[in-house]
Amino acid sequence: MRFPTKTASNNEREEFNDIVQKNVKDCYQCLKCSSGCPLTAHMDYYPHQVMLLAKMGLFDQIFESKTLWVCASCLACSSRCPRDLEPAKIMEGFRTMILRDRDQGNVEILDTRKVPRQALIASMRKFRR
Amino acid sequence: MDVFKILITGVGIMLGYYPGCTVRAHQNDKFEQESLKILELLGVSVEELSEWECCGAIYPLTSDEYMPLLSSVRALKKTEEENKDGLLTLCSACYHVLKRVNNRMNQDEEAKKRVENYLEEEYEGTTKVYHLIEVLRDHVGYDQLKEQVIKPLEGEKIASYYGCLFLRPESELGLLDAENPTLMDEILESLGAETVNYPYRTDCCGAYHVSQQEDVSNNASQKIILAAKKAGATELVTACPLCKHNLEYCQKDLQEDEKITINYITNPIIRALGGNEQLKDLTNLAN
Ligand code: SF4
Ligand code: SF4
Repeated sequence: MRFPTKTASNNEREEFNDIVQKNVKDCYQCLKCSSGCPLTAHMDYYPHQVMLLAKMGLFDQIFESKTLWVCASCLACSSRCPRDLEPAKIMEGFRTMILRDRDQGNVEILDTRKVPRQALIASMRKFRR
Repeated sequence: MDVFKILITGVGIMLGYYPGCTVRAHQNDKFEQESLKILELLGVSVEELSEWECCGAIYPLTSDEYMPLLSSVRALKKTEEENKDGLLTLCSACYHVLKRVNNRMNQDEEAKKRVENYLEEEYEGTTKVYHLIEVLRDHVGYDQLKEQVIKPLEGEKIASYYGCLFLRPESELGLLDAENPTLMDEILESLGAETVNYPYRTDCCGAYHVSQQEDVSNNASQKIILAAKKAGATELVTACPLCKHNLEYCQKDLQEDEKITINYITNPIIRALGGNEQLKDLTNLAN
């Protein structure tokens, strides 16, 4: 993990808290979330590392992270977290901050072949604005 | 005509039916027709809601957004207005979204107030949401299912794939044990099939990543296929249109001997009940 110098502003913290309504400081880094995550092979930070960065207020690191766009909200982590922190919701919080701010998405939808509507609608709603 | 043991008493409930965009759009794969036939045969009355719209495909995890709740609330409210005993869905995503929105309306005062203001009507969160396999367990029962079997599924080793959406969060959905679900296996066993236990049956298939980061969903799905195959499965069943698509699509990169047939859970049920031919006289087909 690289350590940057700037931590989140009060505004950013407030916005994040409104969206997730969780106290990330409660995370005790047990790693249960990352151990059961099926998509870690594609992530740069593992879920517990995102939690640690959030705890330390290093939001910019998280905004740059690939992990936010890899998490599929499968809720394995959320349902197992002993502190009920819902890491999936934390990811959604950061993703939403980016989407609301930039007013556009971070992924290209492949339109080259037919995928179920459920996937298209879900992708548009998760990753674009 | 004892091949056709349909003269059983109905189970006495009348459910509203919510097809959802994906199941309705993919008529060719017969999920909807087969589900409705099975329910008709087993005496469960089902009637499509007079109006419905897409549930939005995902439940919003953000606590400060209320618009994504509206379409589900309309469907839940409609179910009540049309005097149904609950709302049935076949798709795990619709089930997940509708049920969680309903819980939210029960538990989150702020959300309830905002949604009601917008819709200009009240909704108390009283509609019960059912998944097809839940109706089979709770309102039909394995014994009755067993009685209807004409061709037991002998010699088949079927792996059930549960996926995420109707398992988690268990505290809200409460349908299955999220870490060790057995419901689909129990249904298959009552049809005479042998079931296969294998790892990753509750792991995500990669979901909507298939529409933009194929490698993510393909890797996740292949892991599931290979584990089921290794455990000796000859077929894999699911109850979700997106899982089915991903599990099929990811096999394009596999060797012939690593591939496996993916079916909806309704497929083995129909086969055990005598096959589509036997059931063709039933009327309850989608319009
Ligand atoms: S499971 Fe919960 S408490 Fe444990 S590391 Fe993950 S977020 Fe923190
Ligand atoms: S919700 Fe996201 S972070 Fe959590 S286990 Fe699933 S993919 Fe991993």
